[in-house]
Amino acid sequence: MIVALSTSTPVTSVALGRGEVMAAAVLRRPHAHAEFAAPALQFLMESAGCDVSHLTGVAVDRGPGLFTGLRVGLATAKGLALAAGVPITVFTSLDLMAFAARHVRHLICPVIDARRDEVFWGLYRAVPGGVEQVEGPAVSSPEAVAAELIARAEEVLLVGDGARTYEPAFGHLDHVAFAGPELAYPAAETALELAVERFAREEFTPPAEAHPLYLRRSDAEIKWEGRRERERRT
Amino acid sequence: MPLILGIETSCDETAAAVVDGVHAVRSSIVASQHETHAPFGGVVPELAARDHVERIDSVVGDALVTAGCVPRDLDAVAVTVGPGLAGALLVGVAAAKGFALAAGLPLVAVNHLEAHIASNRVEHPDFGPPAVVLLVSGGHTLLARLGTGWAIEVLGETVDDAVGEAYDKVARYLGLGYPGGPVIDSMAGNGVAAAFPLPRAMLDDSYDFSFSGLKTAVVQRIRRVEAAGETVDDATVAAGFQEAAVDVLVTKACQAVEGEGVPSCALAGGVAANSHLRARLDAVAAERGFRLFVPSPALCADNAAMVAAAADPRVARGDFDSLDMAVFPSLRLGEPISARRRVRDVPG
Ligand SMILES: [Zn+2]
Repeated sequence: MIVALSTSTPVTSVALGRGEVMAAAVLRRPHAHAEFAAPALQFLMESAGCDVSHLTGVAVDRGPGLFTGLRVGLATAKGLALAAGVPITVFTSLDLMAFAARHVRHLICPVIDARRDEVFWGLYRAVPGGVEQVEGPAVSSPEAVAAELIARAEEVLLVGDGARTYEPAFGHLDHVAFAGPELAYPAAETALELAVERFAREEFTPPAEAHPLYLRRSDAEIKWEGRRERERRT
Repeated sequence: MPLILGIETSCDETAAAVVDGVHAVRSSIVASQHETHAPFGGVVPELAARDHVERIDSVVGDALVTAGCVPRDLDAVAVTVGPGLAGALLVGVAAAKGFALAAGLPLVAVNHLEAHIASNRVEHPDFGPPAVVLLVSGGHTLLARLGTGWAIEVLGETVDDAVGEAYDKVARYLGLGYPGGPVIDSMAGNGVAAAFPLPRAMLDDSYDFSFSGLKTAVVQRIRRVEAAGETVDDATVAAGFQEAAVDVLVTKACQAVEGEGVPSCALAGGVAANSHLRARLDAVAAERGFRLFVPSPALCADNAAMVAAAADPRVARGDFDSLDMAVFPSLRLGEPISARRRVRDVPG
């Protein structure tokens, strides 16, 4: 049995299954990751008749996204994996969103609201059996992402809450389509689906690499760097 | 004896420990983040949380290996739920939940301040109520009374800065680095306190403390000395400052022991490792005839052995918390966790 978690957005998503998804739960309420993820998994295990002793691996979304959410997901995953003695595999939130939208011919552009008028984004292309990343993951202004899409002059499917939040930056592009709300957030089911293949190939993430993907330094570091820059100049 | 895994991530130490009953520490691993925060002169919450999530699995893994046990040997998982930095607490709590879920173990939510007090029980089986506790750290300075059944009554606390904060501020002013406690403590040994006298904020008729004026007093005195064309070395300043800070703590602790009519006093918290405070309290306890309990320095700083030890009575009576428990960043000493409005994830 594989357990999967995604907590990089205001949505908390957990799933479990073997070859395929057996049970999943989603809560769309901000700041509830830590309270919901573990009890939801416990309930799913009991409902699906899965004993924790059957756990074979943990799949987790490492972001980019909400910093606190990412940490809750990874810390929960690490606790589960450590206690069960099973491996972890990580995916980016953008990988999960692109994979879920892979049944299109377009370029796929997952966009997550990064606040402060910026988005986390990447560009993907559907390939047999999955998606291939062609750009990102990165953090940029929505206008910079729009400029990149214009330069590519290809049909693009925008996926994610960031695309809607910053619609004014994208709405006027004529080769761009918006995916429906069902694809707005990364889902644990997708992580589980991808993890089944990875675990079958015995591909695991070494614990030293199972870290959140922030793409942005902390405010304290940014301020500190700025101060050092100014001191250097004077 | 119940075998308990403790997890602590409330501030800038990532810690895990395995404790066999209250008095046998099988392992206690502490990964300090001092290097991460040193350039900023204080703990940066976002960086603390980032460090915790990177280290939590290796720290917990090391605690198990050092203790020579596997998850199924354990009886419970204890974790600090507050007070502390919300983002930091969440990492430990999430890891504890994942671990408890996968190992099929019950969870116990622990108040960090009560864990500091419990650190005395780890090494001193005869420590118990009635007693007065002096809890001193970078975030807290308070006096409490331990009553029947370990009931906690806060007698007084700082109205502004914690004593550890005052140490950090003075150390920063003198350019001695962060954290300030250990460096001032060792420097003060080379200075003469009487050569740098400072006022004491005693706040008469109460067990409350005030330390915010102490750094200002240090700055003003240095300026006065320099205006007179003289110099004062850091060791003298450190000695004068430390004497003033410790004097207030010792005086109030003695007043509380005598006022409450208890036979013993216990020291707890990071500043309890301060050599001058320990020596002064030791002397006064001998002179006035009360018993002094002091944890060894490793148990004074934040650690997870104290968290596991604090959970021991609840594990023994099967009183557990559920997997949906939240974190409580501003939890107070003695406050029941269930009574507190639940604080969910912090935004960010
Ligand atoms: Zn502490």
